[in-house]
Amino acid sequence: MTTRLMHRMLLLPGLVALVVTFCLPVAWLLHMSFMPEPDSPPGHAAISFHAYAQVLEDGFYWWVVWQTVRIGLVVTCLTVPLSFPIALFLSRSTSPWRGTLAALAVAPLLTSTVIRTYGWMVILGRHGLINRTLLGLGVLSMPVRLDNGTFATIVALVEILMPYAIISILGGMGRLTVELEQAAALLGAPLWKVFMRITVPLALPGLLTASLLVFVLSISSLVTPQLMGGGRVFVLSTEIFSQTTQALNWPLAGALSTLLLALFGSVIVLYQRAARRLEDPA
Amino acid sequence: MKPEGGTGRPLTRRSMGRAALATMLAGSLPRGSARGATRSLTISGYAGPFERAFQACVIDPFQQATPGVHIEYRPVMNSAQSLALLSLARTRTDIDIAIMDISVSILATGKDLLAPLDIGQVPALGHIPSWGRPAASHGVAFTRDNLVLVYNTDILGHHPPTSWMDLGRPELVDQVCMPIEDTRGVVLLPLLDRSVGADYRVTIDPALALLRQFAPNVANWNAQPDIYTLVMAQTVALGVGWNARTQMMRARKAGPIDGVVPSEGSVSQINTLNVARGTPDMELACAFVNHALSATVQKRFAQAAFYGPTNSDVVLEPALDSRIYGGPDIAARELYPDWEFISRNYNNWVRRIQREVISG
Repeated sequence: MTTRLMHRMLLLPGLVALVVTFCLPVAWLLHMSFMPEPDSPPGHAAISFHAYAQVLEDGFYWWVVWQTVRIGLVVTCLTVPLSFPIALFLSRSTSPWRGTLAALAVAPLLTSTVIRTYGWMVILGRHGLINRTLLGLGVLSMPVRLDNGTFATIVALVEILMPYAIISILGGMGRLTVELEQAAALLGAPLWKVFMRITVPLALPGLLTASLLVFVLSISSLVTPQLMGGGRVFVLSTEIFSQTTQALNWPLAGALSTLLLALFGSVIVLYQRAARRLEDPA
Repeated sequence: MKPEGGTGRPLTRRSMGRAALATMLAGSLPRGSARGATRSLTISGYAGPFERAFQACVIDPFQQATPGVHIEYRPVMNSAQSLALLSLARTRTDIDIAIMDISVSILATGKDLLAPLDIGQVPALGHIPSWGRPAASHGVAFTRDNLVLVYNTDILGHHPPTSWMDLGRPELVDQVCMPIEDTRGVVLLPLLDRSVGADYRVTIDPALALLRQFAPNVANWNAQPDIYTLVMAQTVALGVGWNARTQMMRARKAGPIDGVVPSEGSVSQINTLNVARGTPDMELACAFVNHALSATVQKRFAQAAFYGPTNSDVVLEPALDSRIYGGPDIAARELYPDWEFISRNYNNWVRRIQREVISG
């Protein structure tokens, strides 16, 4: 057996898994999105564009897409900067506790998203920790609504996605060495300039990967918008869930899922372009 | 140490292998072979307290009275999921009987997924009033459950709600929960319409306008985990929910909760029993439906789970009757909607609630 053939054989299990767990379900999803609407009479055309027409013509779905992207962008813009100092600290630390600290930073991943989201319901609720503290301190005379809306959804998503961002940033810090920063400082660069001209640019690959991961996980999350949104947060995932389990309009759910996949695709294209420019600025 | 309920023999790789093989074989055996039963039925229905009451009051007595029969209850999230299972099972018939909301039963009948029932097969049908056997559905009413105002007795005990208009009380800003993107909302619309003299068959605009008036009070449009828990935990003071669950919580002393049928009256959500078209044992399915509709079983289920019986021969104790229907005066104001019309407009109404009330 030639080496080339052996390499190809090594790819086979992964390819089979990809086809079975990704390509076939996506093909089925596409097929479903072209099915006629649920109430159409028997004998109706086998292929229909009705679901796509419904999505394109209805302003509500455009608004839902905008809400999805907006929440994804806000969550990404908050999560990545908040995770960066933690990742930087972990990468620089020489403490014997470094391993423990790194484990602690990603420990929330060991807990279910549902449980962490319920935790935020307790903290942000009408009789939750924040409201009680502010009432106790006399800052508020009546509880304010912190849960059941976009704000609560964003807060919970940021906390839930931070471990992913930390891991991604840490993984992309390979080119960042302390010597480079020390050299810049020796040449008289102030701390902020060292950070902006040396640290951030060299950490950019990790930051970019973290942004992609957080954005994609954020726009596809279902549990957190469902539990924290109080029914007010309409995003693509909640709409797909509702069309699948309540309205039973599977073609529409399929069309919305295809739209979400297209959104993922666009983001990945943007990411690849940015990564290429980073590798080869010319 | 002897394992609880076990044989006392230690688990070896071989015994585990045998167990795994037995499990796989059991999964591949034809239906009816479970527990040595010769005939079997699979019923899909609501999960949670309904499932427990149905198992204890309906399934267990049937199995005891009919040796060699095994009934499997498959819990689902809602009626739509039962409809989805019936649609998927069109060729395999995994579900023999589905418990579904009447509006979904009408949809399933329209899709030709259900078998018609007649009085020859199910004699108890003769004791079910006409509202429990609408022409557009092959299902038959098993229980009815009123939409009520659910409230926290610690917060509102001194001034309990009495009207649907209490959802807009000025002192309840951010203290109301209205999970109305489902059947609750769909049956609330005709009620609100009627309260302002409008007819839901003509327009639901007045009802939507009223819901928009209540909106500033609403903390939550999507009760998680459910309205009853939120009310008991004082997360909200008032909400819209089903009477049976509320009365079950109250009877169990689970928390400071009560439900009231508003003075304007209510609508009953009707849970129907539906036999799947093509079920392999139609005779057994009909026997089960007949058993479930019998006066004895209906009364037992009402006592255990506070669902209103549909068999007209059932006479409930006055206290229980009042807990279920809110008393004779209020029961007289019950709205009996055109379920076929509601079923046809279900998704459109939910869409309008989402767009014109919640996100508006």
